[in-house]
Order: sequence, then structure tokens, then C-alpha cells
Amino acid sequence: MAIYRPGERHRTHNILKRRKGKRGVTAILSLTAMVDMFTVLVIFLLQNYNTTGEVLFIPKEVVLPKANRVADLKPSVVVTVSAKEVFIEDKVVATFDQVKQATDWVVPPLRDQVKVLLEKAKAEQDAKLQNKVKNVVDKTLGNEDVDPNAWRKVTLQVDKAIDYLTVKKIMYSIYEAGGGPINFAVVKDVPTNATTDTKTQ
Amino acid sequence: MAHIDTGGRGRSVNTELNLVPVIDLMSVLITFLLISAVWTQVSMIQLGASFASPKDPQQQETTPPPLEDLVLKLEVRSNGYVLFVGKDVRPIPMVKGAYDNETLEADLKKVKQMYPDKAGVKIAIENEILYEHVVAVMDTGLRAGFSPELLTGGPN
Repeated sequence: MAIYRPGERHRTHNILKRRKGKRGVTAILSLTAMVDMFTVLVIFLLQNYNTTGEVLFIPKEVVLPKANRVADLKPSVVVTVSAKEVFIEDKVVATFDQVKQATDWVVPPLRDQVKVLLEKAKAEQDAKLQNKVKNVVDKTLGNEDVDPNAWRKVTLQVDKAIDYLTVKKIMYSIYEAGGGPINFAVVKDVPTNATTDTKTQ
Repeated sequence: MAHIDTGGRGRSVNTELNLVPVIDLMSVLITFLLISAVWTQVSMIQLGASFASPKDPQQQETTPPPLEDLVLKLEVRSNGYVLFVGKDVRPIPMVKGAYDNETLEADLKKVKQMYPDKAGVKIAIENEILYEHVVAVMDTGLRAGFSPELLTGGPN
């Protein structure tokens, strides 16, 4: 049996043995798993990336209904109807109870505000059409899809628990303001056996 | 680090791959995609011809769609659907308290097979029906190949 001199001792493992002299302190990290994870994450996020660039602000109290046959959102005036209030572009124009209890189908503040926003949208579109250089470039690139009535479009986002009569009053007010066609905002619900109609309207 | 070991006899040629730029790129890309990610995909359903749509003065007169004289109307009542195809009336009652959208879709698809040129279905809905069911009916019509047109009546 070996006889050791007194003092500090190390176990038999190589790492724990104190070596004499300098040794490299480079820790080798295995990055393969991390790169794999990053790749999967990037692919997943790219698949879910919204290419249209049109995003709607949905208030917390509004739950949109689901639908399969949907089209991509287009820029338009957005009217939101929740169980408490009616908004236009985040601005409250009437309470839900006012609209529900009204016997007249026209909601004057809603109609007036929609009219103002539609006029603004029309002015923007006219300014766009007057930009002749851009039109020529678009025509050359094949991006010519200017709908002369695009400014009239209104997107209605309504909570799914609202009754149809109230929705009709809102729609009637929008038409009175000169808006239309009206599009209903929905949450895309893609079943396994259905195809999505992505045709833009 | 990752490396490529060519092996073989003689001096081993061990090439180290520099993964640092790849990881940098991935990190930036993931951060950007996570920030700009939209988790709830909101889309839209377009309403067909409607009751009070103001006429555009610049719009020219268009020819009526084919089979305009053929009645294709769907009534959404509190107790179920009623489908009118010409003189034929087909009630589709609720099943276990829910609207029977499957039967409605099948019936509408049959109508589409019989009259492929018919483009739109007119939908009349009772005032108390929830908006969720309105969208479900329109979606069913679109799945069957018809453009939904809401008949809403007027304020009077």
C-alpha cells in the first residue's frame, strides 16, 4: 500500500487532479442543440408571419366569430361594436345601450364620424392617384390594382354576442354616411379538410 | 464547437465551423419575428349586395346576374333555418339546440349542382339572432359556393 505524505489530496478523477504547469481553460460548448432549436423556431415563426401587414386593434371585450371562407383584410375605416360601446378607430361614438334602445336606425354620431373618416380616406386616395410617377412605376411592375371605390370600404368588427338588430342599425348608419361595401371582421378558423379562399375582395 | 473531422491517415485536418454569425443571425431573426408576430389572424367576410347600399353615381348599369328570377332564399329563425329554392320549401330545424349548418351546407351544395350559374343566396335573419350565427350562415353559404346577400328590410 502506498504511503502518502500529509497534505491536500485529490481523488482519482483526472479533472480533479491538480496538474503542474499551465493548462488550457477553453470550455467546449455543444451548440448543435441550440442551433437546431433556433432553426425550428425561425421556421415556425416564418410560417405564421402575417404578410398582409394589415392588423386590427381588437378591444378586450370584443370576441370575434370564427369563419373558414375568408379574405385578407384591406385598409378601411374600422367600426367596432362591443357589448358596452361603439368605437370608430378607437374613439367612442355611442354606447351600446343607446344604439340598442334607439327606435331610429340611424345613429347620428356614428354616421357623422364615418362620413368624416370616409372623406379623409377619399382625399388620401385622390392624392395617391395624382401621384403620376408612382402610378407609372406600379403599372410597369404590374401592381396596378387601384379600386376607385376603395375609400368607401368599411370593416365592421362586432362582438359575437350582439343581436342582429343592433348590427343592422350600425350598418344602416354606415350606408347613410356613404360607406359600403361592408366587410365583417372574423377570426380565421381553418379546419383540416377545408381550403381557404385567399382571393382578395 | 462544431467541427468537421476529415479523418484518414496521416495528419488530421480538423476544420472548426464558426457558428457565431449563424447564432447572431438566428437571434436577431427570432427577436424580430416574435415582436412582429400576430397570434390572432383576423380576416374578413364580405357582405354581398345589401338593402340600403347607396348607388354610386359613376357606376354604370350592370346586367342582372344569371338566374336572377330563381328564388334562393334562406330564412334564419330562432328555431332553425328555412331554405326556399324556387317553389320548394325546406325547413332545417335545430339539432340539440344548435343550428344544423352541416345539413344546410349539403342542401346548398345540391342547389349549386342543380343551378351552377346561380351566384348569390338571399338571407333573411330575425332581429334577435346573434351575430355569431349571422357570420356562421354567411360562411356556410360561401363554403357552398354562394355569395351571401343579407335582406334586412328598412327602418320602417
